Amino acid sequence: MAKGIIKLKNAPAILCAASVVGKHESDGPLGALFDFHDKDDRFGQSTWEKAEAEMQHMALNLAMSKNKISITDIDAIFAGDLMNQCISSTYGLIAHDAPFMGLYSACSTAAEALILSGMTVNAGYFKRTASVTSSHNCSAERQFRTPVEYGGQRTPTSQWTVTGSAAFIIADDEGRHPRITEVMLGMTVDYGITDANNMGAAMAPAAADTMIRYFESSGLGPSAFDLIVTGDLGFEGHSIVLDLMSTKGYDLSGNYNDCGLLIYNRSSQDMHAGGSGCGCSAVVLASYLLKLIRDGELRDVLFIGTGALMSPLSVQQGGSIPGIAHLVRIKGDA
Amino acid sequence: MICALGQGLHDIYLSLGIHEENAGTVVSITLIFLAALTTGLGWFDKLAKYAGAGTLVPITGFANAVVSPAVDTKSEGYILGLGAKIFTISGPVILYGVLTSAIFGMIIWILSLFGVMI
Amino acid sequence: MEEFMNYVWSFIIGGLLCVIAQILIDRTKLTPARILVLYVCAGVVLNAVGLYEPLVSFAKAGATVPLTGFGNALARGVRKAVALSGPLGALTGGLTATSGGIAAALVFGYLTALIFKGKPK
Repeated sequence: MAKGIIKLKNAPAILCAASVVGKHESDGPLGALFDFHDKDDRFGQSTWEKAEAEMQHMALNLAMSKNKISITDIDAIFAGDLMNQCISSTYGLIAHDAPFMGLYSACSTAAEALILSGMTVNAGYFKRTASVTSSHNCSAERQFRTPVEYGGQRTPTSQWTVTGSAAFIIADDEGRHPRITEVMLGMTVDYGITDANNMGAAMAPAAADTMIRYFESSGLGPSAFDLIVTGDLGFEGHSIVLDLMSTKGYDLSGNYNDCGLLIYNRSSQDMHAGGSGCGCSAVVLASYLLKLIRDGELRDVLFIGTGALMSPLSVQQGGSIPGIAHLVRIKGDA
Repeated sequence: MICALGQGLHDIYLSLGIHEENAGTVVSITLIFLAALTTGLGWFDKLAKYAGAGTLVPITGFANAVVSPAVDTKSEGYILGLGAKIFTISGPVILYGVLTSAIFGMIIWILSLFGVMI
Repeated sequence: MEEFMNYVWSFIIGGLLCVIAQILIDRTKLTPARILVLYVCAGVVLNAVGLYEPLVSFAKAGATVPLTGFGNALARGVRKAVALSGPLGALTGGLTATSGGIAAALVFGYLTALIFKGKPK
């Protein structure tokens, strides 16, 4: 059971969602769908870390305003980001007076927050929860790589950390909304990848592991879904997943995509292997995917958040980069 | 490209009457200044994206390695932020350069004791 | 004409040193920081074995401006100082010869940080 699918019988509703992004994201193919963008990525703040926190603050406010909810209606907040000690979530949401749980699951945190929201609302512990995640290109560059102004060249497999934050309100609600019907927790998978510039390759085996476990326990094949979408594997990871799955006999070529590929125009925006970061899958789901589900264009989606569980310290010490992938099944309420 | 610019500066400084021995240092300082300025303006990393090692290897790359952490870590204060982090990228270059040269110095000194000059 | 050829050789040799580094970036797992360390140490060693000074007299700024030139300057300074003051020179020579460049980078770095605010990529 623990490794299997968790069915959420009450199918908690994704009541509303909002996304806040930076300049490169608003210049991308999904640009028009985001709720707010800041043209210099600063969001009126003096440091990049404060800018990221401000994005979370704005994303939650925007999401609540869409359904005229106030913070007193929120029973719990599940939030996370990539910064050490989760400072973007803590400082960004400090003004929101609600019980708060800080999460870390690298770039899969958006899926992890949705899973916790979905399970707690389904169980009846909470009536409404908020799931908030963020990443900021500049704060991530500073923490994980080099100073922002440093002129080192990026390798082709490297991905671009998305500047963006999204908030989802998950609720026990009767209306017509996209709903979380099943979740499956990821397991850490370590293939011994040590190259921090090729995170897609580190995360792809974890994504494949979760997909295979899901297909085997559910008895469903890839074709049962309108879309199977991973969080931020980018170009490298996306093709590795296709290969890994086809050797196991699953053909994903028709309906498999990746949020890291959807968010940018890779060639014209020079984004190498695609987008990554906590904000990547979150803003793509909040803006583009949920819209397609509400419009009825997608009815049944497997949203698989992918994370590379590393720190700059572990990479410098030569440690490998384990990956994890959490699965959320979202159905349209048609 | 940057080396040819350096040679141009070298000739200009010579024609301005700067001594041959100092001209090299003055050229380095000028290039470092230009790299610092473009780093501050946020142009250096965009240029480096296209030029790659073309901007990394000349002394401009060294200057960028000093200036970029300085600009970047100012937010953590002038002592433990900027002051300590200014060496995060260039520190290893200075350390291993000086270390190698010191070893080289000891070798030539020991050899000179035996009358060997290299 | 000789002056013109100085530019040509500067351009070619300087470019060549950059191309080698670019190949190292693209084809190996070496990070830019490691390549810079490698170049400085290579400059010291090439001077030690007597190869770099001829390259400088031939390619001028093409050999002095790249970071190998920084290593060359370290070694050149050590040579001079050891000849003058023996083993003490092994410690004083390198930084004395390169102090201008290092101090300039630190001073301009500090001033740049004072004036400018970080910008997104």
